[in-house]
Amino acid sequence: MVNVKTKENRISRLREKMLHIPDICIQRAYWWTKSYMETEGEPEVIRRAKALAKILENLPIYIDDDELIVGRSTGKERGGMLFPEIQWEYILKEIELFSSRDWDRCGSISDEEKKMVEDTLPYWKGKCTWDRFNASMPPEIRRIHGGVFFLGTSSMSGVHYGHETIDYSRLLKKGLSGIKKEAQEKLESLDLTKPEDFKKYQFLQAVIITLDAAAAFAKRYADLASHLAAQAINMHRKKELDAIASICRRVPLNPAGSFHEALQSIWFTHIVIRNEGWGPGLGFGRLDQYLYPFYQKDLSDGIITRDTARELASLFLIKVNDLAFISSTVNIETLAGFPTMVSITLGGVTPGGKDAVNELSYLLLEADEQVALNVEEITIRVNSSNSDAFLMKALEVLKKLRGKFKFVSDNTIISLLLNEGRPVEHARDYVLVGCFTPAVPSYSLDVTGGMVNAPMILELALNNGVSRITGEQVGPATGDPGKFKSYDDVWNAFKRQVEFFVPRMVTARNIDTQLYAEFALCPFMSAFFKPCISNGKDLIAGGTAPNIRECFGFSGVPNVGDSLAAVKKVVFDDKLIDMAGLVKALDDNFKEKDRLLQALSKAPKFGNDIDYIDTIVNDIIALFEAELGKYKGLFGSKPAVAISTGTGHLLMGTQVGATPEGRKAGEPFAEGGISPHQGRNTSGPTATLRSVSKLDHLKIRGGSVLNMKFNPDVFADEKKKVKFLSMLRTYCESGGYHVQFNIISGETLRDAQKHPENYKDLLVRVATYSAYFVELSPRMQEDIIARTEFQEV
Amino acid sequence: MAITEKNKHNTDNEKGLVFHIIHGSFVDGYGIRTTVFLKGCPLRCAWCCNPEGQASYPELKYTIKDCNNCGRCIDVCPKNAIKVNPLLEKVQIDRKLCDNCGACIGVCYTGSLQYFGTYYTVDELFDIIKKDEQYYRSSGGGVTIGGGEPTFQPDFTYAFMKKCQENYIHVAVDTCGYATTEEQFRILAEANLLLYDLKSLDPNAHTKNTGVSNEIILSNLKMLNGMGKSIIIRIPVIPRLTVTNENMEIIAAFLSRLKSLERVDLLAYHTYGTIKYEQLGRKYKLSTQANIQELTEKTKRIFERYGLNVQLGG
Repeated sequence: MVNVKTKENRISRLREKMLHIPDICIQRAYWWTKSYMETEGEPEVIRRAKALAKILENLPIYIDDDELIVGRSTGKERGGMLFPEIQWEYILKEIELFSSRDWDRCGSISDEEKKMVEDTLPYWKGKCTWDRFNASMPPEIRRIHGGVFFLGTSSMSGVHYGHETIDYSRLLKKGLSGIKKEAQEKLESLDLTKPEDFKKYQFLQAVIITLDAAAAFAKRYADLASHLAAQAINMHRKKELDAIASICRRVPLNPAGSFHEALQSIWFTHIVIRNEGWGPGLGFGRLDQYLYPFYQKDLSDGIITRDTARELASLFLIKVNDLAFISSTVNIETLAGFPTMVSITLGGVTPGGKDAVNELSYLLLEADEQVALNVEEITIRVNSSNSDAFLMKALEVLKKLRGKFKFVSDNTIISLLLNEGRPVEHARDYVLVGCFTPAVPSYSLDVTGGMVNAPMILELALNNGVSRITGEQVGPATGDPGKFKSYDDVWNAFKRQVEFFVPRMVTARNIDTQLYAEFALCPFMSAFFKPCISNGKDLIAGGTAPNIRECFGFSGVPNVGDSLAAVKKVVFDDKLIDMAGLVKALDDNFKEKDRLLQALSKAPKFGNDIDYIDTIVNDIIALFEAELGKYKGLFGSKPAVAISTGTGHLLMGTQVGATPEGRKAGEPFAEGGISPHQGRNTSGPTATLRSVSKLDHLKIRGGSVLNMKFNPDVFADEKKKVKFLSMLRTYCESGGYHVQFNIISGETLRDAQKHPENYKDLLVRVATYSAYFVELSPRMQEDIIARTEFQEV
Repeated sequence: MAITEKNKHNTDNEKGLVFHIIHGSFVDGYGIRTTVFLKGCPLRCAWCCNPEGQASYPELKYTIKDCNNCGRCIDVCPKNAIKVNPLLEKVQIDRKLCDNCGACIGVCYTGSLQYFGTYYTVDELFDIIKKDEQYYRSSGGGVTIGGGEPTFQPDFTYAFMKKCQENYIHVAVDTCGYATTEEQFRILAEANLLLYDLKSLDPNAHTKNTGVSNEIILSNLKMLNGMGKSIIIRIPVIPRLTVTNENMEIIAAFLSRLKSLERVDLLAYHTYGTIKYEQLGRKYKLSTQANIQELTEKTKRIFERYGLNVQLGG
């Protein structure tokens, strides 16, 4: 059999396989549980380590005919991992529904797999963190959880934190063996008579178990490759398999010796991290920085060419797509479209402050141009020292991929980290994790934030603490809103509601964080965080403290702003109606109140560069920041404001009645986070960018999300691209934080709705991630179409 | 001109009548621009895509799809210009009777009745455009004053332009060139960049299609060229009316003699303005079956043969 495989069709074949709907893989859930059944009574951190080792011993392994970078995260091609130690019940209840639910559908599982789950998962009853959380949650906190504190905690989302980027450069320099040596040295230096040292001893033991297990996992692949090589008929493939086998024998155990080895090493390590405790947004960080020495050396030694390096990079980017975020039907409404989000950060400056862009930065953009799948999430740091050539290259690829990349401002984020007291070298070395959160690899834990339904807080202020949808008293009675005599009265009621909810949210989070610190430890991942080894403390148990960022994601902030501005303008400036009349209209969902609705809708809206409203949005952010600043997270961290919604703006909207901005009950809130409400930013793109960049982003330490939709016309020629670039740079240099684009016309999206079969790989920016348009619910598709489309006029 | 008889609203000379502002335009000049559209134009081009820019007073804008047929406007109209159209279950406006007094706008709750045109003082307008200054600076952009015809409100436009220029903001003026007075001409003479529309070299065709002769337009152009102004010529490509197979070379030859010409933009015919005709109660009469793209590209090739720097689109 002659099997001629060109690079292009190798890549396109492997890419095609990632476009199938995902399959649930029950292997992790099964083996993790089996191990836990065997380790009752042992220290928790050791149990976690042994469970990880058990999976890595038993996970079915597979090498595809086309692969050069090998290793699967699950037992399936595009698999979904399950974490029963966080939540088990929904898995049993919904496992058969996964293949038939409205969206985020998966392939169906076999009867045998179903039985494996049914036999083991009930073990977690009362033991998983979500059960423990529910058991320890005070009733008054339970009341806000899922309501105002919409997707409050990690336990509720059913996964691990996931917003980490390990120090991959350390892995590549030292190998697992080098890191193990460090752990052993630390372990030997302990004084076991001291109770605190004994805890460290257990942690370091666990680290060593996991490092050995990871090395053994790679060896399984080496053996498989050798075995396949012995059987191979095609001599070219036999050679490739021999090379794969020898690479898998060397890494990740040893320091990487080549570009190919480096990619294989970080990939194996990432698989292990995923199996230990995955959550969306685990990152690779600055791939163009730590891989560059290997690329350069191989290139000058003649081991690779630019083309073969790009092929490897493409294969690597395809590989990271082998995992899909599977979650309960409730949760996928807030994070629809399988947002696995593997963050890769390119560009920016070096720790020394010099332009960090190198040949590999370009090469990775080109690789993604070819791959263009939804999981690999490229963030481009925009620094004034980065060349136009690089950013233009990014825009070119951006245009072809209809958006996809995120852009963040180096100015803003470096200032933000310096303001937190980080050393300047760390601040300059930041990466993005998760959707939009800044993190310093190896030095900080950046925990994702629950979503806060901010418009619901405003509703309570305008209804004496009672939800308009359920009629329940959810917040404190802050006075009859019909009697409010000034804008200050309205603001103060809102402030009092915020003061009520913030400490309760912090409590809920601290309960959750405490449970994770006890039961969701990640000794393997911790091994790649410097302070964790030196402090002898797990990352999840506060190993990097005080460098911990606990985010609270506030959703619908533009709606709260638009609403407050409308009250101020229509009730108190123009005196078109009094507060009692407004409240009545909200109660009636504006029935027969067309005129009022019209006046409220005409009041200034966020996103048009109107200070009247923009300053109100800034006031709201400052209020959240000040309130959160009064409390401390579990490891002494200062809770951070983030402005984000995921796709929760649809569901959160259904929980809130009519709002004074002119929104009727149940309608969605603003998408993204800080994006102006869909269709309300009508003054042109710079007006939207100005509204956002004028906010005090140093107070939004958890980050924020701005989505903008442009017609492809704006990239019609080189001159326009240059204008686009200068617009992007100006935004980043004038205080903006994040921006991302959908470069697509409404007609194309409508056509994709009609003919989904032609648009299988059409990516759109949903929240801060890309999803396949045709995999989204019709409601989410409409939401994307409703966003303001900027075009040349 | 007939339109002046209805010009009773524009009594306040301190203010300019603006019908649209776009923040962050990639067209209408160099760099990123904020474009201000002024109301009022001496020409009546058959293909005009901004019909709401023609009259120099605020005009009633009626968006029929938003009308809920509540009838409040019928009761307040002093001219009895509004009636119910029972077939559509919407109101309809008799534009012959309507004097744009705006009484109906005050009672319209749905927003289907509004004005085209808002008055601004020079300072108010300047405060709005200066917000984008950082974007001008980084991109080599600025303000573009278009319309309508900016010179049709000469005092306001001149004062606004000067205010921008005193603040180091680049000003492009998008003009039809029909400046008949000293006050109007000095706007063109002092703008940083002229986007100069050229519809036809043939005086008869020009009069037929735009309502005025091109004599003044061409003589102004020659004068401004002589002064060394930065000029971008903009030619709407309207089959049979502006550009034809016969006149392409003649136009090209004419343009190639203009020393201070920086570029020629070919603006292909489009129908985006149709909705605005409907909102004004007018009909867009022009339609064409011709292949615009082919014609535009052919024009470009011929122009380039004459050494002209040609761009498709503005």
